[in-house]
Amino acid sequence: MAGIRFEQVSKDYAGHKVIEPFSLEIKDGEFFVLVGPSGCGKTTMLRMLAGLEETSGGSIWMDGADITHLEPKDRDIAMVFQNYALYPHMNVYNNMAYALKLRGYSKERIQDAVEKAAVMLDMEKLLKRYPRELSGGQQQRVALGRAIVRQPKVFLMDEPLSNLDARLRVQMRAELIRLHAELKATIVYVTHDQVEAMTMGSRIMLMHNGAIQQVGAPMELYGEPANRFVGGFIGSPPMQFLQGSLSWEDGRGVFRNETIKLFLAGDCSFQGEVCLGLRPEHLSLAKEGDANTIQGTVEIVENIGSEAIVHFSVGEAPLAIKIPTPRSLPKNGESISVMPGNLPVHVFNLETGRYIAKLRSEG
Amino acid sequence: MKKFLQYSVLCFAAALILAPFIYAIIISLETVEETLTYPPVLWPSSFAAASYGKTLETAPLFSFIANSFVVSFLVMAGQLATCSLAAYAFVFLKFPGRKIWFMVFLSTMMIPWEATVIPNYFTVRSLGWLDTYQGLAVPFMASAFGTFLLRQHFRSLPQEIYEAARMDGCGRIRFFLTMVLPLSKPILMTLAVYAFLTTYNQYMWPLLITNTDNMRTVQIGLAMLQWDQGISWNTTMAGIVMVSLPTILLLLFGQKQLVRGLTSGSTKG
Repeated sequence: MAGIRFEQVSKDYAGHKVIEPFSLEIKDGEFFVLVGPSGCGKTTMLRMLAGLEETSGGSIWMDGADITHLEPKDRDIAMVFQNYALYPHMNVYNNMAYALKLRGYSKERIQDAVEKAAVMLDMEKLLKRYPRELSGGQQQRVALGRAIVRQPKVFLMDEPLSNLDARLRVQMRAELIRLHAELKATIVYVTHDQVEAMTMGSRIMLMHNGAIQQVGAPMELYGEPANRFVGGFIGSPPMQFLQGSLSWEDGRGVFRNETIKLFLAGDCSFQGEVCLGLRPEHLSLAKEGDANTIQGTVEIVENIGSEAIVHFSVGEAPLAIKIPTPRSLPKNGESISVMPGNLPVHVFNLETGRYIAKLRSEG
Repeated sequence: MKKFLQYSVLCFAAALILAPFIYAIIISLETVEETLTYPPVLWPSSFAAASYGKTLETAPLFSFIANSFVVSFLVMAGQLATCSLAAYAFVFLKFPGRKIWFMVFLSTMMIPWEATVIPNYFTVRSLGWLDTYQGLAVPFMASAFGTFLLRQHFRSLPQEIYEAARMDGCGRIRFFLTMVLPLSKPILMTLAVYAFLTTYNQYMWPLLITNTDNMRTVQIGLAMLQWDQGISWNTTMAGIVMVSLPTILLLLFGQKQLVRGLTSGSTKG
């Protein structure tokens, strides 16, 4: 187990910067999730940490030692690959034992370690099988087992669940959380799925276009997104945005555009063009006579039983509302009236996308 | 009906291809007189195997076959070693100009072998390798074609396996030996069969650099039968039958690998 420190690490390919210089500290025993859309540089960052990719600048430290130029095998790091990368010609036992054999461990010690990991992952019966005889979920377990037997200082996982079907993914997610608790190991986990990030991460780092957007606990990113990108990325369904201008009149904020006017309250003095971020779960259907509402036209209704997402448009802008335990739902083309109620409304600078404040509706 | 048609066509094609060989066997069993009559006798009267004994008296065919086997085996082993290592470097090692060097490598396939015969001859002679196994084998121990074949296959191995092995503490040579080679058995078999047969069938090079009977290879032995015996066809054919048998057996056992290997890499998965 070990803490990791990046110091001004950057990466470029043929003069093109793919990762802006960044510094970061990952604590010992943390489940650290790198999340972002495809091509944001998260995998590159993981591979630099693994030593599979050279850094273009800066240094990487682990346990107080500079590992920037160390060979992958000397870093005491295990990695789980997206496509598992099992050795096809070796059975499960040998797949897991391989790294230990290379280390010259005794037969008994290897057997002990492999069996322990097999029990942990509930695959004692699979040890004699070959990878091609396993299902995707089982292969995934073997890949995890291969990392576990090594008892590395740090686990790296590169989208390990993305090749599994939805049900299995949920199951493996829970299993990974349990494993982390059991191993108390430092895990650096890459995913493009914000649900995985939110549910598993002790801390999350969200990246976009090779730059860090925000680092923090899942609820920090959810509750106080550093910019519009973070707001739109974290949360499901994602945060929706309304453009308009914010001004302060008689101590209360007024958000205006061609179609709506909302009164807001909160600790803020910014005036000018803003972008209002509304989370679908923070909106509720307005009853007749409610003030400070938003009117729109229903476009799509997604009902999944326990809840429904209603997508509607306000002028040109798309918004959505999440309705728990839906009984009667609005239909396509109907007009809908919603209100932020007492829940937070996020304000971002329209130009820079930066977070300005969290306000509440003042009805 | 459709099956019947398919099989008829296949049988006809098989007969067409086998005909010369069967005819060779028939002639080898005929007497000298029968081979000279016209129209040709298609069914020997005696099935006399005497021609086989006579052939072996004329030329030490078994020692030729042994020579060919030694040389073919050396070339096969040499090509497997050099081609797999070269292909490994081209696929798994990153070095400047990797692509260009590979092109250069491939372009040597375009130089007709005949064009290099004379320089090769001088090299081998100056090494004092005339009339030796190494003279017969060493010039063929590397091949651009073999390298190309293996490279295509190695490229189809997932890069992640290499990375996973590296993280597991596997060095380059170990990765080559414990991962790449075992995962490439079919294609290595293909190259082995191919290298073996091509060498076995060589004529010009052995003819150039061997001068004594104890170094001659089979194809030259066959030619010798013709020179020495004029038109004694039954002994010549007996020689051909004996010489072909090993290669036919090899092909019989190796054809599955050969076909699988030659088409692998052309499509993914």
